[in-house]
Amino acid sequence: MLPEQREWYGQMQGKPFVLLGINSDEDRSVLKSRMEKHKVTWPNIVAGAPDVNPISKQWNVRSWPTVYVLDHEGKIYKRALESHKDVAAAVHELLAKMK
Amino acid sequence: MKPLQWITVCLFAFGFAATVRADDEFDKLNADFEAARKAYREKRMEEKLKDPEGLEATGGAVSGVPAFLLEFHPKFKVYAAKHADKPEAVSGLVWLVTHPATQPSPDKPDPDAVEAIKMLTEKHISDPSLVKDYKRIRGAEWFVGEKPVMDFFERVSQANKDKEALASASFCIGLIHYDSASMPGMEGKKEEAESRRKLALNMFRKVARDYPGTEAAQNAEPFFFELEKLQVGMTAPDIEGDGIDGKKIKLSQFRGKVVVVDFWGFW
Repeated sequence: MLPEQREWYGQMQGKPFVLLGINSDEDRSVLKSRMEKHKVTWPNIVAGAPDVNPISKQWNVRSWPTVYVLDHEGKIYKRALESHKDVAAAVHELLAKMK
Repeated sequence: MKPLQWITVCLFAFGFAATVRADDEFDKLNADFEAARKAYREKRMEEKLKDPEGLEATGGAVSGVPAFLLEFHPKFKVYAAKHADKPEAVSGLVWLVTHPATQPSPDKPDPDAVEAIKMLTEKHISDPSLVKDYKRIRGAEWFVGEKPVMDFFERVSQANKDKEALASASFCIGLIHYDSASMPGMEGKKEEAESRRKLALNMFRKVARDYPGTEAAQNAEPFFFELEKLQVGMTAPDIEGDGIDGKKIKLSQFRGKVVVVDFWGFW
């Protein structure tokens, strides 16, 4: 999902939109350099490997990636999406509604 | 000492030594295996650092299965066969169930893993040392297919009297139902997926109700959280944690914007 996401994130600049990553990498030491290399410039919560990650555990995330789309009031619009295309479509629907 | 006494003493000593030796034998084999696995991981990490864009560092894997695993697999097979039908076999069989030497999928199971889970089901189902491995055995569904795993846990439910074992087996049966909804081949079978999900939730409720205080009851909690807090139309519970630079990030700080919450990792 990463290359599509990166390009999409660039196109979405200036819109009322945030991509928030909840990262589950185990090895924190190389994470920063890898994120820089891959140009992951959006906000990310670094929460640890799946077996200790308190957020993915609470949210019952059982496969990666798992994506939730929330509207501007924080309400869940779509849940557990796996394809970038579906995520982008859901976001554009919500942005259109806000206008 | 009379000859008969000698024989008794020798038999006892031999029997005792044999038990100790078998455990040591497995621990040694497993320690060697873990060391090889560690070396493999380090090699992969090195490859990743050299080439961060290349997400597929191999660390020396041949057609998806790491070479070190192929090297150790026959040794664990020999161990399990040598101690067949005895309690010492359990650790070896669990290893074979959880370490396929082929690249399997639910419709193309790993033959050794299938054989091993059948042996566990038929010969060792009440072994108390198995309880700690239930979770891993459940996860082997990808290597052996749904049926042998379901058989295993249903047999536990019939044969075992221990509360933790029963709770854990029920929870695992719930998980099998729950995950079946997202198995390959379920696309387009919405009704079946929905009914299996219901079976799963009933199982989790049973675990929470009948076995409170067990680890399995705790593991059921996120499923209730998902059901009660993470459905479409509900306000998402807040998330808080540290960013890569150590600064606090809260989901609620982005109110007013459309937010995509993306659970991901490089791995």
